[in-house]
Amino acid sequence: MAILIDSGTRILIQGITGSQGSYHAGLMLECGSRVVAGVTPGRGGETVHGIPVYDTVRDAVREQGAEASMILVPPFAVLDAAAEAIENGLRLVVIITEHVPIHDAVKIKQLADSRNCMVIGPNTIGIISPRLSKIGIMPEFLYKPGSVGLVSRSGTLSHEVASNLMDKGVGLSTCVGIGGDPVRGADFVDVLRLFAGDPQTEAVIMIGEIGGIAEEKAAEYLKEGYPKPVYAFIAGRTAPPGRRMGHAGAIVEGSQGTVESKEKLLRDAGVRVLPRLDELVDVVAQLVKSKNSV
Amino acid sequence: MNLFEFQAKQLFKQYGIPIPCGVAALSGREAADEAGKLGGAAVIKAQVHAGGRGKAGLVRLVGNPAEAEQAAREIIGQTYRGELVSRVLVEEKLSVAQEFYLSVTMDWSKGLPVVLASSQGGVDIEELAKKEKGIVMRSLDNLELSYYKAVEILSDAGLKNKVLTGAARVLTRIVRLFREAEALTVEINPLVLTADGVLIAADAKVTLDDEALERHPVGWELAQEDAGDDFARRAREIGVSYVQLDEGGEIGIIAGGAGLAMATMDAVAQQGGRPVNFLDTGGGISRDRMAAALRLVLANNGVKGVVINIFGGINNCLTVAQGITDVVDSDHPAAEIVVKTRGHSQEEAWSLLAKYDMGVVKCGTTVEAVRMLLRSIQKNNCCGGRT
Repeated sequence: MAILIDSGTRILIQGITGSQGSYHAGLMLECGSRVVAGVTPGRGGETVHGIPVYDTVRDAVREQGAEASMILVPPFAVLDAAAEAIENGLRLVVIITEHVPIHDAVKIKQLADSRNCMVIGPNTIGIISPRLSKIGIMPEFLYKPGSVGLVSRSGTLSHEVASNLMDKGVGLSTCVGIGGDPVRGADFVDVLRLFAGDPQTEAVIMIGEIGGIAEEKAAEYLKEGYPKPVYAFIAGRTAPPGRRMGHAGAIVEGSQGTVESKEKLLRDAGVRVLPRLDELVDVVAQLVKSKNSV
Repeated sequence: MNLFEFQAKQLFKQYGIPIPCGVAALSGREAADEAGKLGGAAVIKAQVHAGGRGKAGLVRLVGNPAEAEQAAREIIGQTYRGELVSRVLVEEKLSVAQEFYLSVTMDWSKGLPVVLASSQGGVDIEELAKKEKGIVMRSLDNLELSYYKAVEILSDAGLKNKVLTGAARVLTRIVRLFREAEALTVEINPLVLTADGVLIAADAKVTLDDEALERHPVGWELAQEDAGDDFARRAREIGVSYVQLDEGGEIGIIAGGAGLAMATMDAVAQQGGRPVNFLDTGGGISRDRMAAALRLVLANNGVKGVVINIFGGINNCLTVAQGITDVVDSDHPAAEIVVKTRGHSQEEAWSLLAKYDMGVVKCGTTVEAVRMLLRSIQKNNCCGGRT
């Protein structure tokens, strides 16, 4: 069944006429995603890989019944694009763009919360339900379909885990990248909640990193009881404090946001935390295979 | 981006937040001139980002221009907690009756700003937070703060009469600055009430969002001043994210994506290697920029090996491979190189890399790539060089 997206999801791409937009639109079509429209103001009437382009999200929704959007516009254009998508009633907005100003992200999050729209990102690889649909930029041949749910702050660590699991014959129900920014739409908790209710998902992997309290919030939620086994890896145990490590959200300030504090809270909440990625992959692969052989 | 005190005060001035008279000086001579303009008595303050400068003797009271020159000469050129002091702020001395604390900062747990206020300013904020009722905290619903809310907050902090309304005005102005300059933190510690009953921001701390700098002309000028060290500057020019780690480290790390870079760094340390740096190429790296990134890492003295860990998602494996082989062809680096790459155009990349004497991990883990690199360095050490 997967979460958030499946083979029927009607997707529009904001920024489809840009080089990244058109490149990834093509890749999404290749893996069977139902990209029904693109939106670039001023380019309405064109087509990209056969996909009709509109001037407005309003037109794309009216003409093609678009329900979800992927945003691939430059950083300073993201707020307007997201506002347009949210205010036109889309239920899901995936913001791939990195380097979105934080105050803009604050406004996007507030708007989404007020309209019951799920925003994924910014600064994310997106979402993939393998062989069903992809709203994102991950190389889909590294993602095999299966029963493990994956939710991650790091896009490339998602590729790592997905591809390593695939090499062991294990696949994913859905992978959701919540992104590397400190102010984001959906958080771990929001995705965990969805995985809890998804019949296809047997186990969940969380990939976190230093900085912020997303993992801590997840631990609080999981402590109440969670119906499936959860595994976690937190990157950055060797990162020096006070230095921002790439992601805007990855910085340890004082005692907040350390790997140690995150791991402890998650373990106390019943999560199996592995200190090494290869161990995580081995353990999950073992679990899935043992379930399958029963 | 952290502004220096003198830069933050320039911004304060634009927003009608009262600051002491003062000018930044780059030398003893300039400090003497500025002290003279202030009438002789002044405070000489090192312009550094790290806190605790007062206790380190980097803030000095002087009584005349000669003393100002002396103090400035002693302070400028010192290194304080890794920072080279290149400027001092020469400021009028304030007669302090009371000290308050005001700030607005991002509360990452809510994704919204939080205002902090206290009638006991001038001390370490963490100390303040520990005292019962030491600090008033109010979360904001958005990026604004109305005057009446500012009055409520400061009334809760114990302020009254003209000081209450004066401080409330300052608070609304720092929130406006926070919003318009797209700051992540604006802090005044202390906000001084002088013996004459005037409120003045004796210190100023502003942190701006790096991602928003380009759309603020003021921020952009200020950013030019903050050059950073050589490697940091070159990394910015290439457009990659770079953190220098252990000076004595021997393993260079280049990864596509911050999470993967951190995990690679962790894997190196876990297997007994010493990472010398963390370099995140980000997405969409070109052949030239890949080459420049590799050259930057190889420029670290003592680098014995580099692990390159890049997925072809938003990046392209072949482009990455070409950047790497360009460097090997032209520079013949002595360091061992292991490349782990997989994704778009992987077959072409692997074919190209197969022609070179470097380790390649195709369908394996980061841990394997690191292990391969550490083994080949060890072999090198044993056999005394490349065979």
